[in-house]
Amino acid sequence: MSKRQLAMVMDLNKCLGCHTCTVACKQLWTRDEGMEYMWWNTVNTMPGRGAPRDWEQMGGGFTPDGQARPGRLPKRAEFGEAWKFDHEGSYYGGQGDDSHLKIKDGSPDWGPNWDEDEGAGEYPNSFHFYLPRICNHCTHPACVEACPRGAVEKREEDGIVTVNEDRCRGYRFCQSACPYKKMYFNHQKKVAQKCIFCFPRIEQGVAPACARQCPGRVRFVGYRDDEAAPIYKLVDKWQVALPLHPEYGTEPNVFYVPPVLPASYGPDGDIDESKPRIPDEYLVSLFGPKVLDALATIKAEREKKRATGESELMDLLIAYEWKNMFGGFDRSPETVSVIRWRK
Amino acid sequence: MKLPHTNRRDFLCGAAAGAVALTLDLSLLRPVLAAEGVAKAARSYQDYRDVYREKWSWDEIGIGTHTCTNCASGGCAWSLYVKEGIVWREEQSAPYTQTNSSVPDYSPRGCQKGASASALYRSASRLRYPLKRVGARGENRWKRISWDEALDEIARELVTTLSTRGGAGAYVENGNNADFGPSWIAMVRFFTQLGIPITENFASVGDLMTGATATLGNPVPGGSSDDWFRTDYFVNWFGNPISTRIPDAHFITEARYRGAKIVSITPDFSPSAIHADLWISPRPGTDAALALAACKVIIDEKLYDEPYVLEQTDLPLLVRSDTRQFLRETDVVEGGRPECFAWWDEKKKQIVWSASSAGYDQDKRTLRLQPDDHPALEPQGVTVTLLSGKKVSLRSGFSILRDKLAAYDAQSAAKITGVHANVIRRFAREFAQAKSAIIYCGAACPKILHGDLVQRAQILMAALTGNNGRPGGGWQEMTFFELDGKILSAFVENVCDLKPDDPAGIWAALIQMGREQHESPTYFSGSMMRLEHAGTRSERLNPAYNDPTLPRTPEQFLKEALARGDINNYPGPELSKPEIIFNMFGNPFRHSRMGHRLAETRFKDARLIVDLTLRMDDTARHSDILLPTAGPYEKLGVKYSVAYPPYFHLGDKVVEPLGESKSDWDILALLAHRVAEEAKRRGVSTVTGYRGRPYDLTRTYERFTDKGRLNPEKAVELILELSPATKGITLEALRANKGVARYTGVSQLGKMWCGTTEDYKVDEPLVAFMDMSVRKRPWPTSTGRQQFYLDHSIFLEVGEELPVHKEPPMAGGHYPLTLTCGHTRWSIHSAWRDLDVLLHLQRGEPVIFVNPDDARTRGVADHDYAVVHNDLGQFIVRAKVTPGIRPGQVHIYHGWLSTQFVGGRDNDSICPSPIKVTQLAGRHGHINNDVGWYEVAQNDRDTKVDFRKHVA
Repeated sequence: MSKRQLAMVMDLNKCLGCHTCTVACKQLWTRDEGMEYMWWNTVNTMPGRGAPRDWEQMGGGFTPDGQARPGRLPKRAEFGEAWKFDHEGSYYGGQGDDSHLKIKDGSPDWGPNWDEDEGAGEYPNSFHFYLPRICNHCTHPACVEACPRGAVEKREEDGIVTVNEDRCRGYRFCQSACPYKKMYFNHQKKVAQKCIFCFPRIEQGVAPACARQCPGRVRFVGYRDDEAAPIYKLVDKWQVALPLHPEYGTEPNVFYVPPVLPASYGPDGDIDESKPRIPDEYLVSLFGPKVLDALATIKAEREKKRATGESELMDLLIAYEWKNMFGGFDRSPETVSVIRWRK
Repeated sequence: MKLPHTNRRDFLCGAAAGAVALTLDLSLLRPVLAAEGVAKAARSYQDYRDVYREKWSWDEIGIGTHTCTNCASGGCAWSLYVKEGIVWREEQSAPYTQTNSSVPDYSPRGCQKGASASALYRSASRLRYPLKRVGARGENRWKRISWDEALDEIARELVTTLSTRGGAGAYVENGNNADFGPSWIAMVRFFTQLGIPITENFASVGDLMTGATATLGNPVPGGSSDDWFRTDYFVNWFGNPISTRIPDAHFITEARYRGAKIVSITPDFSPSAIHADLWISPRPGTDAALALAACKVIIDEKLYDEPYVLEQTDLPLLVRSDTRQFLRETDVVEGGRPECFAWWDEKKKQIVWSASSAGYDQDKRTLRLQPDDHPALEPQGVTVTLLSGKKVSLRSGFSILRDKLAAYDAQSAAKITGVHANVIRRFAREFAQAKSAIIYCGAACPKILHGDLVQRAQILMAALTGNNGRPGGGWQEMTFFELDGKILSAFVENVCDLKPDDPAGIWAALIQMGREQHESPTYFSGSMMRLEHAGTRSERLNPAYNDPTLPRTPEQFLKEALARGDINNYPGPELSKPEIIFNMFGNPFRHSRMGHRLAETRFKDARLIVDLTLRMDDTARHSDILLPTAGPYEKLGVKYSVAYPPYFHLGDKVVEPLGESKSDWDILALLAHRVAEEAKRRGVSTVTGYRGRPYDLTRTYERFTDKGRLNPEKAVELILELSPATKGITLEALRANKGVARYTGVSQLGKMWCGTTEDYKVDEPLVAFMDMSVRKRPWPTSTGRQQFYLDHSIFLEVGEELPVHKEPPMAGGHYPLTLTCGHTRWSIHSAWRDLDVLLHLQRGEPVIFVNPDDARTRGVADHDYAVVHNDLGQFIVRAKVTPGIRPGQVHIYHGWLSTQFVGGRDNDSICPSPIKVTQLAGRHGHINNDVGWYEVAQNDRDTKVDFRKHVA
């Protein structure tokens, strides 16, 4: 157990599916050689096969009695490659309309956001929503337990899980063990790499890039035990923020406010209030049975806010003041003077 | 992606990866540093974590925003993190502090396009140096040339053309992706003073909402996006703000938590529908029937706000039964005031001339009714004796409306729209009973043929319920904090003589500018140019693709309007054969419907085509000389002043232009100088603009720079000093506050800007039309009211004097599916469309979204190539199969470059863009046919298609 644990709450009712988080992370951390295909932050349309493809069927994590559950290694093609495009040929190749901006080296069949905006169900009752994911920085991390080198570390001071790249030998047991498939492998450098919860920023009091750059104001950041801050209130007090797949047994520290979709239609085309657009069983399969209570709480508090103008929960989720979302990690990066090697 | 300066970091990462790192002594680097004279000691490597700490580091931070794109969300403030002279990444600087504790603040703004802009500005398609075509146009064969070669050739050709044909021998293809500072000013100054016309684009791309102009006297009403938070009922209609207003969308999701009900009305289950409480999916193009059915419920169930309707709308005004035109004072009073309209007073039993009327005594005009005024909404048995002695009966607009609405009972509307009658009734009741309700009308609305009718019907809903001019309410598109100083700097030759402390002098300059532009307009209609001179006439005028109920052909309507002289800014035969074409800030091959036909028409005929462009694109491929322009981080600029965020945004010059690129200002200044020198050398002095205004070509540079006084920095200072919206804001203060300042006032330019309101306060959301609802100032329409009844002869002839529903046309032929379109989350028009990092997050290729049933019956599986086709041709595209698409709908998100399609044809190539004949009306009160105000627009979203599996 770490002394303290950093955590994140992501509000799926505010997620726009815009991927600013994804791109913010990519631009900051994963552009170097061997990292091009990595997306430490992903946003996927759910229901969907996600990234890597069908990750929910790949195993890993723990069984209810605490035993390691077998997991399989995701293949690189299941993540999707960072395709290269024939920009030169299409603009300078002398072929006119006969050339177009082709993907070089073949025709891919998957990528990090391949099934965007597809979802499930049938018109007019189809349903989908966006699920952003980072490493869950679990309290009981399968990756840490799986590494024979002890190279995956959970930081004492804040619970961030990192790969010690000085120790990692690229055995990849961590990748199979992680049930969320949020461990990546750098095929150039032969080391595992993953979301680092932007610890260099955290160390300076600045929220992670995915959270601070989120224009939908989806992500709350802070210590899990800070009772004055939004994380504690949303997770423990109001219990509207839940971990993804709690049955995986790793005790994630990323929590989700479940989505409420528009009313569904009956067979006659009139609105049918009796059943939600997202079947309850699907949400339960993602967030566990407590999700139904969370949805009921959100509904009741929203109605209370509408009627009286008052609700601590709704005010928290609205986030009138953006900087209050970050549990004290609200420093502007412009004010940081980073210690760095001189060029 | 590999940045040029990553070598050292790569080395360190590589070192960290292996066991060698454990023994690596980085102190070995110290002698190198010492040799460079760096006094500060380097920090020693401790462990792998230092590699990541090093990644998040920078040499300096600059102020930037993405000034080259007309992103309709308006500005976002970014910090640019610079390493070794390169913008390595950007992050929102989020300087928007809370100004009002009852609404959420604006931080952080931004989106994934902004977050990858530094990659875009260094991407493969970015131009690095001037290029000259060596193959055939469109063949993609180029050679690198010097700036001297490029500019000398252009100057020579320009002087030749201007001295023989004058300004009419050339024109400018203009897109909307201009920065609102020095770049746009440079374009307008340069070409206006040479009398070379510029295509206007608002209607050409299809964004102009003529239904709003006709009804509200304002094509761009709206407020700030934080006002959405205050609404109790938010209706997203035709739009997709969750994807296209990314920095503003949180005000919608947060309003939902405040207790507002969110409704989304689009055929498909769009990204915005996800975040709604009610999603209504009408058959494409039947939205007017839905709105009118809602109006009928509101009227039948007496849910309308009668005092508001009597005061603020034309519905009580009287209409003659013989001509179906409004009763005007000139009909009954000798020497009566023109454009003076009447209502019936039910107490006084007499006609009263509405003090709101445009023709009423100017100093007495008001919407305010007097205590003894009792206008009747539906007077019975009113007659009047005309000057001729003839007696005619009169009815109120409301009374006629009630009759017309009889066709839209909920059951009938359900048949038209495919929306259950109970859903229509529920929507109408909830809308009417909400304390405040917004209709957010997306820019897809004007892109159907009868979009104007939809707008008029939607605005009727908002007006019947008293929502227009109410905080958290009203029909909204988007509005702007227009910058008067920007307009003046562009159009006024001696702008540096204007004094900020002399508002009367500034006003006089604006008036003078308006007069000059009326006589000799810089802009002409891009939409009509495409019709007349770009090979699309037969499709756009094809009666089979148009409203089948028209009594005459579209061509007859057009000929009549031209013969009457109703259309200003029309590109006549003098503009049919340009010798020189310039292209700036856009990509007309993509943004025009059937844009590829430019290659066989105007571009084929031209002697020289010059493209000032950031990058290679469809239009660049068909040009002769490409001049690489500097990107936003590489020049001083001002962001598109959309009012969603009521903040001015500066983009500073943070790094040097990439390669040999130069700012638009510098390019045109250099060219102006060479044109003047070439003219002197050849002894050419007086030449004429395209409308015949003479000018001295040898003074080109002097005029462009206002005698050497104007440069980019000065232009931004003039914008700030001469615009009421930025009064008190200085360049220095902006730079000290991350490039951002809250607007301080509203434009002098009046009627269409800032939602027609003067009630803007720096600590409150901006609400449109408060001048009317609170101050009772008349609306900028003929009647001075929200005007639903339009008595121009074309409207009467085609049965559209009041909003009605008309069936969508069979545009493109009789095919079973409708091709709908919408802006995507992934690009701003075609900018960012070909950026690798964003393509990785899509499928890397253009896709259509289709319903599983439609795909299955055509044997098309997910990710198959499909051929989408109609009478006009075809395009080839990947199919994405999803149940969120309405059966019968084929949806493609907008902005793909034609060069991204197999076969090189895009979706716009098969959109016939039929003309809406009522958009030919003009010279009728506020219905003035002017660019950007009211004109024939292009459209595409009624296009009929089918698709089949593509076999390569």
